[in-house]
Amino acid sequence: MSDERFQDLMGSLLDGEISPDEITELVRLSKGDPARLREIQEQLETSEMIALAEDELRDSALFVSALQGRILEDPFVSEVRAGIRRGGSLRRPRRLLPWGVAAAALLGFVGTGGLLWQTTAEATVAELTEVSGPIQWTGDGGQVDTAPTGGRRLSGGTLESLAPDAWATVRFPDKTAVTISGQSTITISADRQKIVHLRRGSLSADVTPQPAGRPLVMVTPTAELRLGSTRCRVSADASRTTLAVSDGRVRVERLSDGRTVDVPAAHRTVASLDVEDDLRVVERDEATHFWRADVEEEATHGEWIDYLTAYRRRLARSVETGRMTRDQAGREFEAYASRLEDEGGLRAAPRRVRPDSEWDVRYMAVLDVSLEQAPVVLAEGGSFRVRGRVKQPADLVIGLGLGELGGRASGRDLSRQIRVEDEFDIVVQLADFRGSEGSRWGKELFTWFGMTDEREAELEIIGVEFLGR
Amino acid sequence: MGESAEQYHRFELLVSEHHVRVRAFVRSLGVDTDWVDDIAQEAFMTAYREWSSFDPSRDFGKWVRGIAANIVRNEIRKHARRQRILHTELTDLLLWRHREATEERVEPLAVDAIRACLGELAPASRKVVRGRYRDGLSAPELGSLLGKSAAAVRQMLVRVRRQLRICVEERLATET
Repeated sequence: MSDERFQDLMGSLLDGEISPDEITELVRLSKGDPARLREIQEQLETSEMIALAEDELRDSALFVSALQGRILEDPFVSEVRAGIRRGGSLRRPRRLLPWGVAAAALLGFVGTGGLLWQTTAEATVAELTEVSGPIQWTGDGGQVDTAPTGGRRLSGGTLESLAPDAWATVRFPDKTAVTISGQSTITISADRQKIVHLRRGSLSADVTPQPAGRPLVMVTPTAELRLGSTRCRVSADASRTTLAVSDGRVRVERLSDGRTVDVPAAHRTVASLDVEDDLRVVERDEATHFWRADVEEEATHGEWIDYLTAYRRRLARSVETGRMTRDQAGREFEAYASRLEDEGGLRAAPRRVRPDSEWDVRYMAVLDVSLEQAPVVLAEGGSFRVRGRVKQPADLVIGLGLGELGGRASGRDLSRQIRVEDEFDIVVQLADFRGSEGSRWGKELFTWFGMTDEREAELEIIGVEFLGR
Repeated sequence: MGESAEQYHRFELLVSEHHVRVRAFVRSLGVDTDWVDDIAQEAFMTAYREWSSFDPSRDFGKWVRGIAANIVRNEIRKHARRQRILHTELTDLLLWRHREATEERVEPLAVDAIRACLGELAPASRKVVRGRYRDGLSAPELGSLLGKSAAAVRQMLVRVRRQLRICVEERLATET
């Protein structure tokens, strides 16, 4: 009986479906029995050999290539390889004391894809390759760089893009690139594997093949993503994470219940805090030249004003102060609700910007085009229709954050100043924007924003549409 | 690592020659299948770092497997959230078995021999191996496809692996 049970348990162990209690039982049945231990060992070994023979993803070339990648990332090994390249004889230092680190720093960039060293003991894990707009870097050691530039080497730390049309690209030694855009914050580290915490905002990732068993792990407030050889975009806030995959495949684990799904190319999913959502993987729609913003849902900066709620509060105050009876307020509310055309508007909120070298304050309403809908592509002859209101005449500027279709942020544009007053409904031609026309055709619209520098105007954006032609 | 680019190239050749055996050995110590390659790579990286202490007259594969066993042994002491072994006590026993059986141990199998032996399997056995290892199906999934219970599928796989091992050992003995 115990032999039969041993065989059962060993089968479950090999199949990866053994429970903790069963594995304890298997250990008890095998302890002091060399024949059974040998059987387990041989079964495990043979199983691995079959897997290596049958599974193309674990073939020899991939293993050797992944090992080479790890060797190149290894600080000591990189230094030795530099020694080899110099053609000299180099012995391993007994300890990598500060002088050793400084010597390694002098070696600089060790060949293509080699490890970079800083002049401090902190190893460089990535490089900032592109910066557009206000960006801030805070290293793990607490040092803050409010104006990092392209080429800056990064140890572990936090990168923030501070304006709706800002972006920055972080590139790892294996050419994996992560581009944040809009108002986004990521924390990066790369010890055993690359880990990116997307705390808020959005990013695009272009991930090269990663070492076996060590994918790039992306953590958001609601999900953990595992990326290897993929191109995708991710947006996240405190309650939901949206993923759209262009190439490859991404595994998504919803943190609230541990449920996982695989999202293939041209598909998307949403992992929210609400476990009632079914974490559906759906095909992404084809790119379009039309966009009608869901101003409440797509807002990423500004205060959403629900007009009915706001009016109800105003009437309640009137009743409390005796300026109106409860019945009058009820009739007034019904009349208001019946003629109301819009549910609400996005009130522009202050935001520090740096148009030149100085910081300044602008009042902004920002919309990020949702990854849950079709990508919106700018086309020649296109225009934006913008509805809104201001309490006093003001100069409105419309801004765009643009990117490659299904890829990374790569452009920004601003309209000329437009004078608006009261309730306005304007059409702004793409041709009226300041950037060169050719540079924006075919670009995907990532972010739209309206801004003014006049606080008293209390700018509200009610509706935004893009019409291709 | 040694003192010339040629030696680095030699190391790469040794990796190509030995990695399959090292990976199978790591798994035989009860390492979670998802972490086998990770630990095998760590063993080769350590070998690369310690190259200057390696005696070329010794068996490179045996040396790297010894390094891998040490890495797995260290894993037992870890209380990390993501321990890479299936069960601490089981791995402890398998490491003990590895030490005790060093002398009697036959060389691990070769992929080419495994492939040849897979080709000789009966169609039903071949089907279950393919379903498990190529298509990644679990025992219950395979069972529902084949009209068998999950336990029966696991038993079948145990028998097939035993059969393959005997086939490979005979094949290797004939070759030598």
